[in-house]
Amino acid sequence: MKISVEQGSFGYPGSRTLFENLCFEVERGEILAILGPNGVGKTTLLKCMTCMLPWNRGAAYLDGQNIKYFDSVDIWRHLAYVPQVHASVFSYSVLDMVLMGRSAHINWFSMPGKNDRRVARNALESVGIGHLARRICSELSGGERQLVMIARALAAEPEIIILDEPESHLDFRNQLMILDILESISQQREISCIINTHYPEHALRISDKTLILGKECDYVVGETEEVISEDNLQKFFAVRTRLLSYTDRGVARKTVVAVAI
Amino acid sequence: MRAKRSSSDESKKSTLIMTILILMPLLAFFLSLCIGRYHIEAGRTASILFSAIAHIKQAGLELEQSIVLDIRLPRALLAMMVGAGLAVSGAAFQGLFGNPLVSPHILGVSSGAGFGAAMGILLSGHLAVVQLLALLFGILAVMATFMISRLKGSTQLFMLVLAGVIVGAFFQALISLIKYVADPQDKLPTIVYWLMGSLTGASFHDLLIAIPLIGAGIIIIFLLRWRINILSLDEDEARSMGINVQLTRWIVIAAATIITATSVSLCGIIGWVGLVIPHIGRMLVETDHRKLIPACISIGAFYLLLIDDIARTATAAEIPLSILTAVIGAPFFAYLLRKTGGKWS
Repeated sequence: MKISVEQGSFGYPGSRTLFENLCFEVERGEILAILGPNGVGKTTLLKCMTCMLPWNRGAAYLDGQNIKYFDSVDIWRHLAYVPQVHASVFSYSVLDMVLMGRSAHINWFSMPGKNDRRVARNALESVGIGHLARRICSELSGGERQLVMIARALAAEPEIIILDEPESHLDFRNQLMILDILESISQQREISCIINTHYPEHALRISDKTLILGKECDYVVGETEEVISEDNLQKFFAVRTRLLSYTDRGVARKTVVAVAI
Repeated sequence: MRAKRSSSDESKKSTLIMTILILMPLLAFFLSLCIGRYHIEAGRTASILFSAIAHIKQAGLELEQSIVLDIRLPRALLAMMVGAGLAVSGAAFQGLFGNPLVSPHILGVSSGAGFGAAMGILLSGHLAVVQLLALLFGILAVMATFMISRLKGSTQLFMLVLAGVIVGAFFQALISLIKYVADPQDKLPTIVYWLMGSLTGASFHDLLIAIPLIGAGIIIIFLLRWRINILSLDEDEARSMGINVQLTRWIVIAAATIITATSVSLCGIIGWVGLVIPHIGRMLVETDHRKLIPACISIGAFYLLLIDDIARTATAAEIPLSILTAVIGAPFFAYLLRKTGGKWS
């Protein structure tokens, strides 16, 4: 499934416009990384794309159909959303949490059944935490909790997963683990991923396309290799950077190092 | 191997808890029919119940029959309905607001219903009028809360809580006004006694109101219990699970409102049950509302039965329920809190 935004504009009432005439598309199985300075409206953009906030102008489309006209429950059979991690008051078991991802497929007065539990367990296995099923979420580490959220998104059997800074608060290793999982989700299951991130090097590592939002409603979008350049990072973040190339086990890769402000 | 053993231990433990949860209210129910100022032996009570079910008239047992069947039976059944209802509404509200400090009274329903009852007592004193006004004003209060909290067609939870506080305060003031003008010899004590909650004089007529209304509320929440898990997430997170958050929320609120308003109209304001029972439930089972809601039905029914038994047997005069639910409930809850470290899972 293809998701696209055409001439999207949004600003909170009584405050400045956050983005204007935004146009981009994400094809099936692609990864789009969204970068931008703090407060530029990355999370807001995700909310507009999923109809949680109404565009001022323009629209988002799923396979060419305006998302606005989807049933507010129906959308979530195609999309899944992974919010920024936060502690919740009540703590459910990991399996119960992942089962909640099934709700778009479950009728009003029904409960998750055998099939739903099977899908939830598979989702847990696929992100490598099947053994945590019976544990309580609040007892898990940050990395494990993020995996639970991704498993919950997978349990919805979506075609597109939208993740809000899935790796920001994690340690070195866990960041890589999350990135690897997202990469395999997009490649093996052909699920598109849209991720907000603060790390240009993460975009370079896994994303096909990159969108950088600027503070003056400007933006740049395109193939990651082209978008993440020293010039663009200087322009949008006011940071002097160097792009470096290296080879790891025969694969040529690129990364970016911040040099100075 | 170890993992296997622990999971079978866990299922043994949950079977044990389930058995206890089923047996406790039944035992308390039978006990409630036996004890009272006129003690009736268990065997006789059983035979009275049996003959009532089988429609057999037993000679020489008329007095005891009438005590068990006409006085204690409706009272015990009403206590169970109200206790279960308040506990379930409390659990549903705590889940819905994602806040363990919430009770069913948060949206102003009890203040509204209390005002209705007080006005009924002041104006007429006829029981049916009192009950009707209580029910009416309880529902009106929550509708007012709904109206105040609604902005651009949707409601934020904090707005809802604030609106509930406003409406509650407003009706509390009106209750004070009625108390102030009520005849201190006759009407005032009745109003005060009503507001503290009591099951005195519970009849089958009360059950005819309680069973359909409270019953319907409990059934609705019971059927939606899994969705309450989802409502307890952040608003946007809950929406992204693919449920209609606003509609689900209002159905749960409507069900809880009917339960609480009916309870107040039948037996006054009974505090504490809706706040504490869900916590005890969470300590016994899990946060998962699929288990918590049934557990609350059982514990709530059991708890209010027990409290009411004490209310009518401890002293010569009946003790108002709200006093007992807190006097007995508070220390017990304090003990549980300290023992479990207040873990809500």
